[in-house]
This record gives sequence, structure tokens and C-alpha cells, in this order.
Amino acid sequence: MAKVVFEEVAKKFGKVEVIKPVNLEIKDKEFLVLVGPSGCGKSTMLRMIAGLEEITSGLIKIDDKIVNDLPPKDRDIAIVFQNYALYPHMTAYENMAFGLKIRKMSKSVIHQKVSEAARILEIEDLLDRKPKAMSGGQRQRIAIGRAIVRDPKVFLFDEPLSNLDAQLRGQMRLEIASLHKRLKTTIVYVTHDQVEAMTLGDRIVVLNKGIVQQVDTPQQLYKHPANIFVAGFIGSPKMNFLEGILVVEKEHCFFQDLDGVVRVPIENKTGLVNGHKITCGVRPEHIFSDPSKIKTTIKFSAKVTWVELLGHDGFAFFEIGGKQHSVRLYAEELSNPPFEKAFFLDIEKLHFFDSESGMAVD
Amino acid sequence: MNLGPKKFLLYAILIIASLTFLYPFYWMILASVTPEENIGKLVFSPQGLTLSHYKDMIVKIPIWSALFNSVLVASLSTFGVLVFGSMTGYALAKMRFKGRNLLFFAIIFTMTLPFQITLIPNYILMVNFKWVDTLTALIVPALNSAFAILLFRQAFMTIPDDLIHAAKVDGCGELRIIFQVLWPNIIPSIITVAILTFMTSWNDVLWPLIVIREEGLMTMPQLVTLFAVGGRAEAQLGVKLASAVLLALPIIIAFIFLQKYFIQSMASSGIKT
Repeated sequence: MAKVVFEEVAKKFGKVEVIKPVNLEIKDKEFLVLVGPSGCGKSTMLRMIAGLEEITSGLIKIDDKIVNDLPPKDRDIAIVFQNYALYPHMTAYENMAFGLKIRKMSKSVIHQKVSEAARILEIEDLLDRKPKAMSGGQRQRIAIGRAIVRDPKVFLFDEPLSNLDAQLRGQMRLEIASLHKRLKTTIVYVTHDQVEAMTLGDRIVVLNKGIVQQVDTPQQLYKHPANIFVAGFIGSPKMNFLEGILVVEKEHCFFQDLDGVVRVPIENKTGLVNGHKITCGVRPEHIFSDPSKIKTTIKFSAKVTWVELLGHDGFAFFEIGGKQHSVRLYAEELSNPPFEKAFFLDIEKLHFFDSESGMAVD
Repeated sequence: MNLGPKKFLLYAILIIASLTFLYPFYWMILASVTPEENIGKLVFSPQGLTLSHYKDMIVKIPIWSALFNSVLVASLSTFGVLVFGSMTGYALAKMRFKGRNLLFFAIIFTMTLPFQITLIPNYILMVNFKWVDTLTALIVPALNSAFAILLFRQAFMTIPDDLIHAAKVDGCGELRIIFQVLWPNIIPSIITVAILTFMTSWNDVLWPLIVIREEGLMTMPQLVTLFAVGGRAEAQLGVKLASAVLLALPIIIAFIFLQKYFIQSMASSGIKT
């Protein structure tokens, strides 16, 4: 049980700054997910907590103790890797017991701890097997078991499900969530999969190019993205964007698209001036074919050129101003494209961003 | 078995080639147990049987102390090369430090230098250390080798970094990582290095001839060479060959048992799996 604090933590590889100074507090027992596209620095951040990557400047504290110069073994953390990193020459039991043996625990205590972890993870019948004789899912359970037996202050997961097939990934996701409930330990979890991030995290840190974009709960990230990057990254298919300008008339402000067709009143909290470039964002699930459930709507029609059916619903794709956009519809509405269709935007669900800085303006 | 003409030719060439390698060994072993007067007539079939050459050899030269010296020197240098070679190879493969590649290239460069070039400086060093006529002069310079470093580095590079990270988090220091976590996963490379180092040390004549003069400290090949060409065998071919058999035997036995590992490792070293 421990909180982890980043104070102005930065990391450089040579002259390249891969992590810009980060301030972050991971609360005790929190499940924090680091998410972002590949190369954004999320794994580096995790490895800095583990001590596998040195930090260039700043302080990392675990449980109020500065750990900058502590080797990994003295940080009381355990880590689960994407490629499992099990010792190939040891059985599952030996893999789980190895760290305890090095810490000179008695055989009976080790046996008790490994058996307990094996029971929780339902891997009792695998204990005599070597990693080579196990499937990916089984190996990942052993790797998680190796972390559990240590009873660490902080669990670190580095894309643990990326090597598993979709079905197994879904199952393991649920298991990790229930494990967190049971163990009540601080977990830091790295993933590039936003479904994992949204379903597992108490809070999510969205990273891009070594910069923290937003730290918030999954719902807040979805409802109130702090900038265009977060808006585009969270949600699948990604949010639709429409370029336009800010029109200020007396006390009222409006978003107006470049063709002057769409005009929507907005709150200008950041005090931008008349004519400033603004981007309007709307998620595919907030464009409707039936206006009856929406209070204030904007109607438009578009030519659907492509559809993706997912069974019960699906996505229709159309172009506006040379850019592709998508909308979520029921499967019945997705007949053979191309076809012309009328759509309705829910004004309350629109997001507005400063096109230059990318920051949210409403 | 139905052999086509192509295959037949292939087998014929291979059999002839292997005979040219095997025949001298066959002849040597056979001659060492053939009475002296019959050795000249020896081609394929045995011409009588005697163990007198071996008895004579034991009387004439301190073969048992030479055997002990050879085993001691070869074992200690092999042990040293395995330990220090893997430590160096690990550092070059998995640790990040300035000048790592430069250091590696420098080590590889030393492999291109013939031993004869460094012979005299090495000898002077031994004289200055006062190691001449001690087994230390045979063991210490052989405790690490560029070839072993190269082979270990390549073997360690095939191991994912995360395995080492996992070991660090589990509480291992670098030495435990090398010997307890990584070694069990590169056994073929270890065996290759061990065989080649042992064999090189076992067969070495030149260096012992230069730094060892006392008969009781001589190694087998040194003693056998001096015996065979130094006149003490009194021009008796059988005795010379008996000592040669005794010299070759340990390496031949080692190869028979370990050739599988040897071929495996030679085939896999340098190829990332």
C-alpha cells in the first residue's frame, strides 16, 4: 500500500527529452493507467518507477521516500512485462519462488505464498511446468503470480495483455480488475489500448510525445477532453473534427465552420478574439439519425460512402470538406452504400478547441 | 538402400574425405601397440601386439606429472575464461556505458593479431612478474579470451532485456543474473567456449616451451614434443607414438561425448532466434 509521487520528473536519452517534466500523484490503492500511442514515453515512465530506467531530473517518491537512487530490488515493487519475462529454465513454481528465495525466506513461507497465489490465479495444476510448455495466457498468469507472491507496495504492469488474443485479453482484463479489488494495492498499468484504459483505470494519464496531456477519470476524459489530442485518442472510431472560426457578436460567441453553413453558440471561457480559428469535435455516437431524443439539434445530410457492421450496430463513413467522418448507427440503417442520409447533431455534446494551441475552449 | 549416381558420388567423396582425416589417427594408435620392427610394414592390418612402448615411455619421461600439469592448466584457464568471458560479454551486451562499442571493437581487433606478435612482450611481462618457470605463467594469461567474449556477447544479446529487468526486480545483482539466470539459457555457448578453450590450452606447445624449463612443470604436449624431437626417445617411433596417443586421447574422448553440443552451438551462435 503506497502512493507514488512524481515531482518535476524528466528523462533524456542523449539530447532527446523523452519525458518532459511531470508532476503526478498516484494515490494509495489507486489503479492508474498510463495510455498513449507508441513512443509516447508511457513504458519509460513505468520503468522509472521500477528503477529500471534512471531519471534525468526531478524526484520520484514511493510512500514519501525518495527512491531516485534505490535499485529496483529495494523499491518494493513488482512488475509484469508484456513478453512475460519468465525464467525459461525454471518451472512455474520456481519462477514464482525465485524472488522470495533471494530474499532468504524460509521454504515453508515460500510454499505457502506460492500456493496462495496459485489458488487465486487458478494455476495450481501448472506449477510443475516450464514456460515453454504453457500458452500465452498461462504464462501471463504465472508472471502475475510472481508479482503477487512478493506482496509489493506497488504493482507495475507493462502492456501485459498485448501478446494475447482478443478473447483472452477480455477475460484477463476482468481478472486484473478483480485482482485489484482483492489485493487493494496501488497499480500502475501501461497500455496503448484505450478499452483497457477506460475499463480498468480509476484514473487515466494520457501521454503524447513525452508530455502529460490530461490526468482524469475515464468518464471525465470522455466527456471533457482537455485538448484535441485527448479528444481524438479516447473513443473509437475517433472524434470527428470540423474546422471553423470564432464569431463574437456583442455578448454572444459562436462557432462558425469555414463554409459558413454551421453556426453554433459556444462559451468562450478562454477569452479568444473574433475570427480565431476553432475546431469543433463531435463523437460518432453523438450524431443521430433520429432527432426525437435530442433537445437542440443541427440537421445536415451527407453521402455515406462506406459502412462497417459490428452486428447489432456499426459505423457509417462520409466526407465533409475532404475529411472523413463517422457516425454510429443501428445495423438496420446501414444498407448498401453509397446512400444519402440526414443526420442530427446534439449541440450539447459538441466540443470546441483552439485550433492553434489544441486546448479546449468551452 | 537405393542410391542414384549423384548420391553415390557424394557419399564416395565424403567417405574418402573422412578417411583422409581418420587414417592418420588409426595408424598412430595401431603403431603405438605394434612391435618396433613391424611399424615400417604397417598399412591397415595389425602386425603383432605389444604394450612395451607405453612402458618405456613411462620410464623415460615424467608423463604423469605432465598429465597433471596439463589438466590443471587447461581446467583453470577454461574456468577463468567461462567466468571472466561471460562477465565481459554480459557487460558488452547488456550494460549501457560510454565507449562500449569502441571497447568491443578493440577486443575483436586483438583476435586479428597473431600470437607470435605478442609473444615477446608477453614473455618480458612474465619475466618482470617473476612468473617464468611457474604454472602461473601458463594460467593467468589464459584467463580471458577475445573469442569467448565475442561468443558470450552474441549469446547474451539474444536474451530479452526484460528477463534481466525481471531478475533485477526479483532482487538479483549482476553476478547472480549472469550465472543463475542467464547461464542456464546459453548452455550450448558455454559448452562451445569450454571445449575450444580447453582444447587450445591442452594443445598449446609454443608458450609453455618459452616460459617453462623445469621438466616437472611441463605440460603434456611440451613434454611429448621435447621427447619426440629432443632425442630422448632414441629414434624409437613406437614410444613417440605412444606419447602422442596419450596426448590426443582426452580431447578425442571429450569430442565423442560433446560433439552434439559443439555442432549445435556453432550453428546457432550469431543467429538471433
